[in-house]
Amino acid sequence: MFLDFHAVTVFLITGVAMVCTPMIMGVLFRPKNSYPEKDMPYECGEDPIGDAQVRFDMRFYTIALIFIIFEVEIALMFPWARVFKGAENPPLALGAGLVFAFIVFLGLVVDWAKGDLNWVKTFRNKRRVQE
Amino acid sequence: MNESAIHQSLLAAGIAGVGDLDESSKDPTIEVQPEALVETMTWLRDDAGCAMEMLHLVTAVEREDRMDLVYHLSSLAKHHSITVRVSVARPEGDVEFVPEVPSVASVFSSADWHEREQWDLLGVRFAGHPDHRRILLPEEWIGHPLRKDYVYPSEHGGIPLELDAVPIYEKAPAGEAAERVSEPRPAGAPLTQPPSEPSHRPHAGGKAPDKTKDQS
Amino acid sequence: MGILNNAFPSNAVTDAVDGAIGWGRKSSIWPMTFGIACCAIEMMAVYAATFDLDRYGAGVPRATPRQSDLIIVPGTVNAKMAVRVKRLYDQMAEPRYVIAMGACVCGGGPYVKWGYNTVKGVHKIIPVDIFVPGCPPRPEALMDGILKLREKVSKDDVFRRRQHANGEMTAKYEAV
Repeated sequence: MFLDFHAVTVFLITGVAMVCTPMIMGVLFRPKNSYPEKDMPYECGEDPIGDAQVRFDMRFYTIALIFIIFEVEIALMFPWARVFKGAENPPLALGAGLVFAFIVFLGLVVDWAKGDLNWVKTFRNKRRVQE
Repeated sequence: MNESAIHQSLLAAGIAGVGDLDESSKDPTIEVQPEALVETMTWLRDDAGCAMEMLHLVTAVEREDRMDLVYHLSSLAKHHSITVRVSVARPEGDVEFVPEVPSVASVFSSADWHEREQWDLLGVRFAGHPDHRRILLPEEWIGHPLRKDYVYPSEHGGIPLELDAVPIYEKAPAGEAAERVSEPRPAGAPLTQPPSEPSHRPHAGGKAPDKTKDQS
Repeated sequence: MGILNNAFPSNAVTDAVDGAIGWGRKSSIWPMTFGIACCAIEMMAVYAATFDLDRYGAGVPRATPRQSDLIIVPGTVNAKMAVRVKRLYDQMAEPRYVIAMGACVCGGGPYVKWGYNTVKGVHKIIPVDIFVPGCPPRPEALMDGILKLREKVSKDDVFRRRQHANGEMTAKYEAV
């Protein structure tokens, strides 16, 4: 049974080898010459000032997370579309796919309503704080 | 108005310390005493007839016995211009001559950086300047380079500045003489001589330089 | 790390391998954008369409020394700037090359006599491979310098350790 996956195995081994071989060659052949002035952080030639860790804007994380979720949904829709043609119970297959898409769609509706899709958040129906 | 008319109206304003109009130079120049400088500049700017709203340039000229400050003013509305000069005499035996002149930065904002440049390069102090520090050279630079008696440094902050300096990544062989420091200009030497003669100089034709000839 | 760097003597195999590596290296020299003064204008002209440097593989200027092989130093180097030039050269990874472009960085240029603030040639602070004189050098002159640098790079030793014409063996990299 495992021999059915021979193509995948070769693909996997070749891929890993193509990555590891240049890395190992580099480790063996590159010159090593590390000294303090070389290792200091790059700041266009000036003395580095300030903290290397900066405050990260949460909106990047939010947008990236939403992207990942819908990307995975698309990735899962492809095999569903592929096996749809030979399904024994087409209405069930269609219904299952649509239910899956609907559930993820509900998540999109919640994001949309809360304003997570806007880069610039605006005040909506908030009561002003009494001075 | 031409320059002598401007000068006449300035004299008529009655500011003490305004001197003569020097017509010998290409730009007729009004001599002013340092104490009267700010008042004169204010009057030249605010008077309706002169209306000198623009100060082009503040520069200093170092001479043997004095330091001159020269101010070039012009009026864009009236299409005329005038030059004002202030002289500070160099006291006898004063090696570290640092003349002090009132600052006109409160009158013309363009004077701010021009005066900083004169402090940086010629060592002229401006009383009342809002930001009296060097503008071109690094803050820790020593000396005022455009002075006639300036000593050229051989290095600054570890960076060699001489033509025949040893590169900093090469160690000098043991026993080599210390870096040459330029000598101050000896009294009586012509002003056009460079402060030191480097041992090699690019010369045409590939021949060795002839040391007997004048190399200025 | 780097235990096989310059480890083999020069023979047919290592010569061929180093030839191949040299060809790869010379065809992809990535310069750092480091324009200091007027010669930078001619350097930009070399990158641009008429004198296109990209056809030699060197037309991807990197903004950071970490990713670049070559630093072209165009323009007068002051005492203030020299500290930064040295630091940027230090932050480049080996193998790194330097082209001194222009009269000011080759030997002081117009500031050699009266310049109180200028370094008389950037070779006083970093080791230079190619000098391109001119004030400013024409783009073709800088291109010629880069072609000469390509020849120099293609003869570099990666695997092998040769004896050079001056009698010395290939030296290991040292901190400058």
